Amino acid sequence: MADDGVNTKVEAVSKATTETIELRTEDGGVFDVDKPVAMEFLILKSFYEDEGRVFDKTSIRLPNVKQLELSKVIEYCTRALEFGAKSAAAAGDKDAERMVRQEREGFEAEFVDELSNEMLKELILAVNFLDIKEMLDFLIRSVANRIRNRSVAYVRQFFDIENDFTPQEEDQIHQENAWAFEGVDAD
Amino acid sequence: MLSCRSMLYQTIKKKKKNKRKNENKIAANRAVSRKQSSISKNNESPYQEYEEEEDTGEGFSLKTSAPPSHTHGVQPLGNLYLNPGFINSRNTGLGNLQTLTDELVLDILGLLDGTHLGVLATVSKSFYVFTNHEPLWRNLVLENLNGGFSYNGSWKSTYIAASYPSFEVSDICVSRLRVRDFYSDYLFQSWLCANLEMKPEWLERDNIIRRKGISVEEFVLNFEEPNKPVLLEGCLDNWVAPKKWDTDYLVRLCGDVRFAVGPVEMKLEEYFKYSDQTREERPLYLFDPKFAEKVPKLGSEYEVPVYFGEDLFNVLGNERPDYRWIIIGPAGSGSSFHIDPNSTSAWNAVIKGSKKWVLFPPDVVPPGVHPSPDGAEVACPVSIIEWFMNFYGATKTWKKKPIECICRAGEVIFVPNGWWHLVINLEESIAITQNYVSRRNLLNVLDFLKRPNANTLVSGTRDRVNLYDKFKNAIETSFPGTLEQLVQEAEEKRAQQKLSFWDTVTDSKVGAFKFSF
Repeated sequence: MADDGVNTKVEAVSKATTETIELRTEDGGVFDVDKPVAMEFLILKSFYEDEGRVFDKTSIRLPNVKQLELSKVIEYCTRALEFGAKSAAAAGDKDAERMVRQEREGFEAEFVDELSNEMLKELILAVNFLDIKEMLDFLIRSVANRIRNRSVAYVRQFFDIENDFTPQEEDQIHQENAWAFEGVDAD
Repeated sequence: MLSCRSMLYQTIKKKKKNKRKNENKIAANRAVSRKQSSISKNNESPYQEYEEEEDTGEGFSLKTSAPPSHTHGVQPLGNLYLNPGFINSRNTGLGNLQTLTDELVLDILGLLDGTHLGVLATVSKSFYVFTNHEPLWRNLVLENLNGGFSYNGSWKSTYIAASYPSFEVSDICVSRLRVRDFYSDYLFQSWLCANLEMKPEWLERDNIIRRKGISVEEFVLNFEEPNKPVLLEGCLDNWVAPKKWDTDYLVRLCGDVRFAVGPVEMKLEEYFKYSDQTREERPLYLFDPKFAEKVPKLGSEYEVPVYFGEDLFNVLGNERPDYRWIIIGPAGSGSSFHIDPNSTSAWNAVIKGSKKWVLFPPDVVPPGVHPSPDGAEVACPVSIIEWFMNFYGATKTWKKKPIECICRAGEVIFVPNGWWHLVINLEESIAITQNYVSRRNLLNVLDFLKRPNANTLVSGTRDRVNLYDKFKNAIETSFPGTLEQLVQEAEEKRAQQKLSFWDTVTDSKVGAFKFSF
């Protein structure tokens, strides 16, 4: 079956990669990260590549990232690379491509479901700092998904926002934006 | 008196340096600014100072049409220092999202559609300000209305008028609430850049060589050969265009024709309507490579100045890359730093209006510009005004100063191949520009087309990879022996070790260019 063939190819690739980088988080966490995953962090990639540094065993301290976030980031990036490899291997085979896509969507849905708002936000900050474009896009999309089509009351409660309009101001703005409220139901 | 404006200047500079990866540093700054709010000061409207100000020192002058109320009263972060005990409604109104940067918040909002933004505006003052950020609505218009829109005072109004035709737009959409305690460098900067006038000191330097009535040989010998820019006067005397082309004439002639404007095509009449009203950091620019095909009369009312008569890309006939554009835009529109594609040279004739030019030779990367190693990408500050605000000053202290000028109606500027250039319209302008290949830069162009990454760098044509072969063959067919001769001449010249423009020996072949709006 096409699917099995793709999987074994991917396993072979990841076993061949043995180089790791040691990353330390600001709250004392230590992570040994596979080089390909670490190179997804543009902040590291440019540190090594653009500045011509030799890749060696020094430990890198990430001052703005905590353990919990980094472990999530590593999890996502590792799977993203795997999906990338599977996609490439399945290229040309419509069925296989579709399966990889669905698998990825399933993983991403589960990944984000488990995240509280606070965690999602902390992840965005960490990923923004590490400069991982693909993951940042994914997280931003996730936040947008959480507030799309939601009522004002829902959004306030969701992000713990105080309503700082006076009643008159609120009326005025509601009028200004009456066009947006046409036919929109609560929640 | 504590100077708001120097505070502003500092905070903006700091923000620029921190732009890449330091949202936590910015968060720390905010925390500091809250602690320091023990300085007492009158809470005046910050815009009063700007309006009264003359253009002295570090002050900025605003366009006379800039209405403060349009910005809902967004203030730069530095002003938070001056308001003891005041909180930043930006943060309280974002709740858990407050530690995200403005850019990230806008990224999230950028994924929502118009209705959602309208609803979210009522969540809090902060959301009100964010969701009214014009670039969000501009994107919605450009993505969804595909050039078929009628600009209606603001992008938000335009979008709503088109999407909710049953609502009386003029009454409802105008943002009337003035939020007084919202501090954000990013949003303030955005407003500032949209409303700034060009400072006189940015326009003072005019060091380009000007010539009138020189012969073609003189031009080739003194400028084209040595690859130096020059401003030529009197070349448009025979053109019909400068005598006839103005908004009225063009609308009468082809108001209904769709021209390329940024990512969309829109009717010329609608474009003029937009350009009359717009007040933005980066106004949309009409830049159409098929204007003569769309409206042959336009093509007939100008002619290529005699100096640029030899254009070897002609041998490719219809398969030649895009080579001529009509350029129309309001004050503030233009192009940020780039090098023209395919290693061609260019001329740019102003028919109406005026343009400020800043040029750097091929071996000098302008301040604030970051080309990628292969030249395929050029990273520039967001807007041209921002470049002037933050980087123009550096050119005063650099040894390698740029060539600058203001090109006015009736004048033509020659942009030698490989030169970096930035252009900004100082008023509503109409111009025609062409890129060309003469014998003098034929070898450069062939070299460029031959490069391994040619298919990403070569622009303006659909058949990138084969352009080199096609062009080379066409030249050899139409002008047999030319190539050989040129190669030989080049060898001889190299043997003499000629010095480059800046008296250093460098490789003047520089990479590519990508239009991005």
